[in-house]
Amino acid sequence: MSSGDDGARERRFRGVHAATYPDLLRFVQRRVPPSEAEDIVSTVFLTAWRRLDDVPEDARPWLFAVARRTMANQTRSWLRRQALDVRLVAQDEPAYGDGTVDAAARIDLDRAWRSLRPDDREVLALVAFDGLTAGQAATVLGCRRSTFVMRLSRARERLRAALEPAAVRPHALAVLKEQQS
Amino acid sequence: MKDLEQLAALDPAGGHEPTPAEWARANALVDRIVEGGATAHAAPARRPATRRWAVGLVAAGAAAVVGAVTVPSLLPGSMDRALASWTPVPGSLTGEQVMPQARRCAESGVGSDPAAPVSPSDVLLAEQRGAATLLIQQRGAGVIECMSVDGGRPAALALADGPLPPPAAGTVNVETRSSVGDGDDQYSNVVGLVGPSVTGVDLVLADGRTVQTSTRGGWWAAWWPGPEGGEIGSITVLVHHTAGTSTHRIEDL
Repeated sequence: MSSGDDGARERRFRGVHAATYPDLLRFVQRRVPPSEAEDIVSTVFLTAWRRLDDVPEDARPWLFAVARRTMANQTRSWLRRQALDVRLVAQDEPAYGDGTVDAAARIDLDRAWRSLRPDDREVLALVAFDGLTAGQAATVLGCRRSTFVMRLSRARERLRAALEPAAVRPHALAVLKEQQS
Repeated sequence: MKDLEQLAALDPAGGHEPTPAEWARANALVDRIVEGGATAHAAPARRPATRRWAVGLVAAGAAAVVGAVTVPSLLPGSMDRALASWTPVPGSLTGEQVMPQARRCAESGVGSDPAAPVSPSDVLLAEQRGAATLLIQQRGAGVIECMSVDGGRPAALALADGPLPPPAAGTVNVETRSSVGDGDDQYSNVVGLVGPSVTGVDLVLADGRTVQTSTRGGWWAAWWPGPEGGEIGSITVLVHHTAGTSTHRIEDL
């Protein structure tokens, strides 16, 4: 390999890193304890350097897919063979977002989210948290776009169903009060 | 899509931008990766593609100027050399023999006490598999694992910040296990504590390979080519002790 090739390879790698590091760090932070995230991200970029010829122009989904495999393979005390799952904002952490979800709705969302299967949480998170398109998310999960769209649709149905009990709870409470009065 | 938009309220990383320190560590890693890659290009003798090697586990220390960062993987050039020379039976080394590596591991800044002095007695376990040296090393009150290849830049990982209770007599535990990499570059690592009267620990992998681990200083450790460290049901642990040998699924330890 010529020095010119080396230079081009290095420039591309640095460019990919600069463009994707923040998103990749957030992707990993959503799925492992914060103290572990930088280790995982570092491993992903090592893999990207070794396989730079395989990294597509839209590098982010490819890197996310490598990160998922890396996290799944990394058995530390925090993982201990549990399925890879998406974390939530802890109750004592500041909630991000645009503030349109009030505290009560957030509790309902939190409860509904926790009731879902990890697979459903993952497809929802890829869109809602990671901001991927269906095609990009399909790349991350290693499935066809049509398959991802179907899985997303089903996950959203289950999310809505999980939110329903909370939605009807005020009505149920009113009925209970009527019965008590 | 309102339901998906609402979910953003639960995002644990939403709005988080890398801090200047995170950027500094990330950019330092890129520099090291590029540097290691150039080394790999200069050494074109790679293993045959059909052979499956692996490299030890690991984590690299960051440049001191940007603080400690762990990278659970060897840099590319080092990885190739470690993979190509791996042996299933390790050689045992003394603390005196590995003081150069131990000093470089300490300089990586990994561990809860990065300024602690280094002495041969701090090396709890040292093994050699081909070009790779693996250390379990006391750093102040804590313990780190560190791997280096051909005396190059080490990769270190914090194992404990303070004393750990030993397992019961004749038993071992697993403190950490993992696999790193893809395809033929994948490798596994296991580290644990040994209880009194344990005389040795062997691993039998799902494909029938046996890996002899190193046991010394209250610890056992091994690394090997392959993905088993991150899998379920792929590793059987044989614990040799003064009363015989016991067999365990690694998930049970």
